[in-house]
Amino acid sequence: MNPPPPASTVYGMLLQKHSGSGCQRLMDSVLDLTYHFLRSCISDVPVYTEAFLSADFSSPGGGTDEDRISALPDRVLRGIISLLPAKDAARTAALSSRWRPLWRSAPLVVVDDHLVSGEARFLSPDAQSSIIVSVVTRILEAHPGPFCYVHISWAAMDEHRAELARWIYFLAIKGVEELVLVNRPCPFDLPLPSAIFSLASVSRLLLGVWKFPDTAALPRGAAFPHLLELCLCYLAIEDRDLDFILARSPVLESLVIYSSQMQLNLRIISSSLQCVQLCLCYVLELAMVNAPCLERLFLWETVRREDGDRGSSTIRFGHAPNLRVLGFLMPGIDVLVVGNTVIKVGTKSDSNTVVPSVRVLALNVCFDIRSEVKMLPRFLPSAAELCSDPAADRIFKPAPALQDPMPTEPVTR
Amino acid sequence: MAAPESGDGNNGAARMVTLISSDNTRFEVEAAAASLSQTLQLTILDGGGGGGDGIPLPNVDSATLSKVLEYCIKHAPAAANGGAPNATAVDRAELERFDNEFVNIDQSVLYSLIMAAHNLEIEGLQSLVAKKVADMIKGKSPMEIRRTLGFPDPTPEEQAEMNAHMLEYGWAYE
Repeated sequence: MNPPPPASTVYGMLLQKHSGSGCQRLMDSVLDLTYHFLRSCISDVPVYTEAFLSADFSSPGGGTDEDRISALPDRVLRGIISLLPAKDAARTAALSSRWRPLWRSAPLVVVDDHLVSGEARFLSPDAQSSIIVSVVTRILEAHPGPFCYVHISWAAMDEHRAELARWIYFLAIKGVEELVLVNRPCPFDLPLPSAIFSLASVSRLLLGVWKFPDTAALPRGAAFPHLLELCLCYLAIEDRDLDFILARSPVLESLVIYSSQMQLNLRIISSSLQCVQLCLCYVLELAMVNAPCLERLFLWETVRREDGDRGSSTIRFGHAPNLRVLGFLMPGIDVLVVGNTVIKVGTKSDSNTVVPSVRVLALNVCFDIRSEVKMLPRFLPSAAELCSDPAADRIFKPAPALQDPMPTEPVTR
Repeated sequence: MAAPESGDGNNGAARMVTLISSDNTRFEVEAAAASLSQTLQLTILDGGGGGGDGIPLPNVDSATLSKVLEYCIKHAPAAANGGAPNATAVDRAELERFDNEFVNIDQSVLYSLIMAAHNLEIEGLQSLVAKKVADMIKGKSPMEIRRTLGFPDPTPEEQAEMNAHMLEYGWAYE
């Protein structure tokens, strides 16, 4: 049995609590819940296996309309192939000599869920993982790239570490734009190869259920030069490695941390980051050290103390001159620090303690702390409070990962 | 907020443009609908197609153009709203229903539509017709795809190549 994850998350706590009691079934269902929750955070895949539009019309038959589709330009045919699940796409190369080279030159979409079909769906998770791993390996070998979208979230990679390393190698040399790479637990802390930093072309990246590589040992050139959106789901990642990612992602605009195996001290130092969401994390401190472009910051259902009660998170306003949207603060629980001043009920508002840029503020008020709520407008004078109601966080769910990270909000740019 | 009507022209009256198909049929449509075509957009913006002039489309016949415009007229209001963040679920469901019906057509019409969408660069229509063809291909063997798409019977060489592909790319057939 794998060691349970650290107790710093809701799931970790549940697991630890029940692991001694031999309550294996409960543990399994908690594990399942964690994993399915993570998968639900992943945005819809761009290609689907169902044929929604295929009303079977009668084929023209017998050469009246002979193969007009093959007369279409390459660009159009490649566009069609890119809409197919990987196996269907590969089969088009068998149609005729006209079609043979097209598959190899069409940007490829690989979704592991599409690779297990028919009776294989009833196999054990391990058997399904083996099928996925073997097919993905052959696809990545056979196709010259680039891969526009690769999504692996059904495979338990513990037994397939060598293949994992090969995939990352292929994705690095052939190019991948968008990558979802989630290990199916257990274990929770399978080491992610540090070669992940060789994916120079990746622009959207979601990593789930890994132990993040130690960045201290990485070469100086390790970076994500084109990364725009990053979502980290339930990783074992140290604060210094988060710092490293921010420092080495010069165009990163959106960072989402969806649950984490460690408590977080996030120091935002980034000249490109516009939106940060922390969901279901254990946040000790979040500091906007130097975030000139940061516009939106969300803490959603963050766990703030190890016993599951909401202990305090410290939120430091350093340099974030463009922060417009801020949620969900918990007045009376979160500690706000503006510059060097801790904001308390009696604190005077002056030019050093006011955050004038915030236009929209969402609060999560749990009990009677009227004075704390009332003091906030003095420090966030331009903010319209969206909600100061315990039920409000049901309305303002964070957007799913890898989609537009902006919840519905009435702000005009 | 802008009025739901296109509001594109002056005095609230929608500006009209004339498009002329390859077989010389004239179609008068709102500028907003015709502007879904990236190819036509700038010409229309510069005032083209107004008055008695009309924009000739030598690559598109009248049957295809009328179908293309049916799509554009239906989709123009949503496009004017900037991709529809304000659209209700009902509106979106209605557009989806329309799209499904719209591509339920004969293959020869479908291919003419693909070419027209491609030449006129109408993004939504390009993606809709490509999806339709992709859906016709999904879950089928190469032989079944050939039949569905109206390929002639394979020559012995083609048959041999199909078999070779099946051997080399076994994973695609599992």
